[in-house]
Amino acid sequence: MGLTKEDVLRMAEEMNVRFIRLQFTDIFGILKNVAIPVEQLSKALEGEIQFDGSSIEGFLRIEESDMNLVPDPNTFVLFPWKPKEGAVARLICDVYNCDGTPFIGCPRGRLKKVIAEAAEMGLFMNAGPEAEFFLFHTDADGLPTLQTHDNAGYFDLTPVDLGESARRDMVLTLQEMGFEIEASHHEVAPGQHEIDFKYNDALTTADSLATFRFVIRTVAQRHGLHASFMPKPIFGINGSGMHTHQSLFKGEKNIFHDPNSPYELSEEAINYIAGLLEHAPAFTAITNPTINSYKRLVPGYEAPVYIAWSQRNRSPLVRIPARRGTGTRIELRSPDPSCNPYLALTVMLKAGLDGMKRKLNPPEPEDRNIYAMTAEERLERKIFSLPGSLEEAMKNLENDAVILDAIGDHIWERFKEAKKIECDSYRMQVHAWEVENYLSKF
Amino acid sequence: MNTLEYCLGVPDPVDRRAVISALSLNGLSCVGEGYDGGHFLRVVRTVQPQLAILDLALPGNVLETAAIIDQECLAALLLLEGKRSKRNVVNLNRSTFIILKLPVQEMLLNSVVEVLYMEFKRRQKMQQEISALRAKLQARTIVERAKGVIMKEFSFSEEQAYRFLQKKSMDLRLPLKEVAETIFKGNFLKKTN
Repeated sequence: MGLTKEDVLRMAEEMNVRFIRLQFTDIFGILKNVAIPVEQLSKALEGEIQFDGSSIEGFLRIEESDMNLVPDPNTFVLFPWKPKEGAVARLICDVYNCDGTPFIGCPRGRLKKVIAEAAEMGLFMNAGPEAEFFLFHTDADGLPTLQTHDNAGYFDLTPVDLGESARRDMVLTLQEMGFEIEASHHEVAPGQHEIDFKYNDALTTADSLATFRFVIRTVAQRHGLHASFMPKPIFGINGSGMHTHQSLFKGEKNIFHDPNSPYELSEEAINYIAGLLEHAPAFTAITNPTINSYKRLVPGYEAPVYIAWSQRNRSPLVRIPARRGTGTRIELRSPDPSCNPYLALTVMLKAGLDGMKRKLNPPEPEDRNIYAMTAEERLERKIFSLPGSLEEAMKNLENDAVILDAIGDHIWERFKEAKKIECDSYRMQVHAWEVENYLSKF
Repeated sequence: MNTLEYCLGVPDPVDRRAVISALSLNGLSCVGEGYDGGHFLRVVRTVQPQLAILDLALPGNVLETAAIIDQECLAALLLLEGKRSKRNVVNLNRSTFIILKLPVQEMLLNSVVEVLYMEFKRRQKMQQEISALRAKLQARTIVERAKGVIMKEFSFSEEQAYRFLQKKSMDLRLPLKEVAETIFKGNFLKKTN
């Protein structure tokens, strides 16, 4: 939008803003806030607000804890839900060290770095995510349950469907915050919903995703519901994905389109696809970063399992939607909404760019249903699987220098440590399934 | 107002019966009940009653539920303070909501409900007016800005600029606001590119 610091100060005064939330995400994509009164805004805009980095997971140790928040004026937005007096606005921030250099562990900073890498090649990325989520009922303590409105059955004859009305409010709230909503609908599973917003440049899209999850949760809570972006909350029904449409532009021109090539896809597009396929085993650890993520990536629920690409078929990892011209794009179907949106876009773009730099070529597109093939057929056609677990994905990531370079040593070290703890704790736990299957048997 | 419908969240069975029977004297009907804060919200959102009656003793965060119903103008709101309510009342800002102590006289309950509902209708109407005015004000600001752009671009007087906008709006069969928006944005893009 091109807002300046002065614009922000003026708007804050015009809109009677009393508090500003300075937002950033930790390395796991969890939104963090530092709230300041409006009197501190001009100081904040100069990047002079400090916070204790050691209290943020994956940031810094106690000895080196002072960090600065540098707000991006373009992200100034008023929260639509109003307290009694005055309004609350937010600014998304980059994290800097106190000596004024960008902090290498800031996910937004990592995305900016790879965006700059694309810019050196004269390119910029547009991305459009489709985030799915579930709406669950809460219990007497306000904690989420697994009960969805669709199968609750209490108010079958009421004039309003709670899920629909909550979703409508979400759309209205997002629109008020400047989102352009393209579609909003009920998804395949009971209680599952999807709201799509218009594609934008990668940084804006990542900012939007961080905001999106927070808005959806808040509005759901105001309906007595809990919105969950957990990838696979219920066994036996579809999980929640975050298919990400991506394209690269040179000025006004979409460089993925070439009317004279096969499938009307340019060589760059083909190389980009090959890059995605090549690095998928590794970047899956970032785009699908929880143990639960891998319970979604199983056959039978419209989630991708095999590393392949296709034009029509929805079973492979990469699908090419039918639109051509400026709308030509690539849809990566594996990411899920538990990812850190900044890092997820960082690794996707990096993988694609690497494919273009090395002029990689993907295997032939796969228009047959891969699920119906035998293991031998898949091997023959060189169709491999996405990692089956977080541990497997982490191992792949450890061996992929390109993706590691994109996220940087700092994030990688912290991420590796945290994920190891996560996997160990899960491995040692006795799960309900085990009790159910073994307790009476042995 | 004898067709008034309400949702009720009162956990104590004796209090609950007393309220329902008192309100039925005036022809009010209970169209939904909630057993905790979140559930009450879900019921109110789905049934859409004109009135919500909420006991402070209801499990869950009752005050937050009350605040949401109030802020979003979902229904007229009456809070009750029954036998079990003690734990909640401590940090309640009493000036915000009307609270009746149980047991309550039938006459008093019915007249309070009546007043609350009238107040609610009044507030609803005012809010609608405010949103309409806000939209108008916003449209006007955009038109002003677009006018500024046109005046500068073509060295027009203010009147000429307005006439230009008006003409474009008629030619294109688009609301003035949309034309102004397009002009303002277009100018902005030119500047940044």
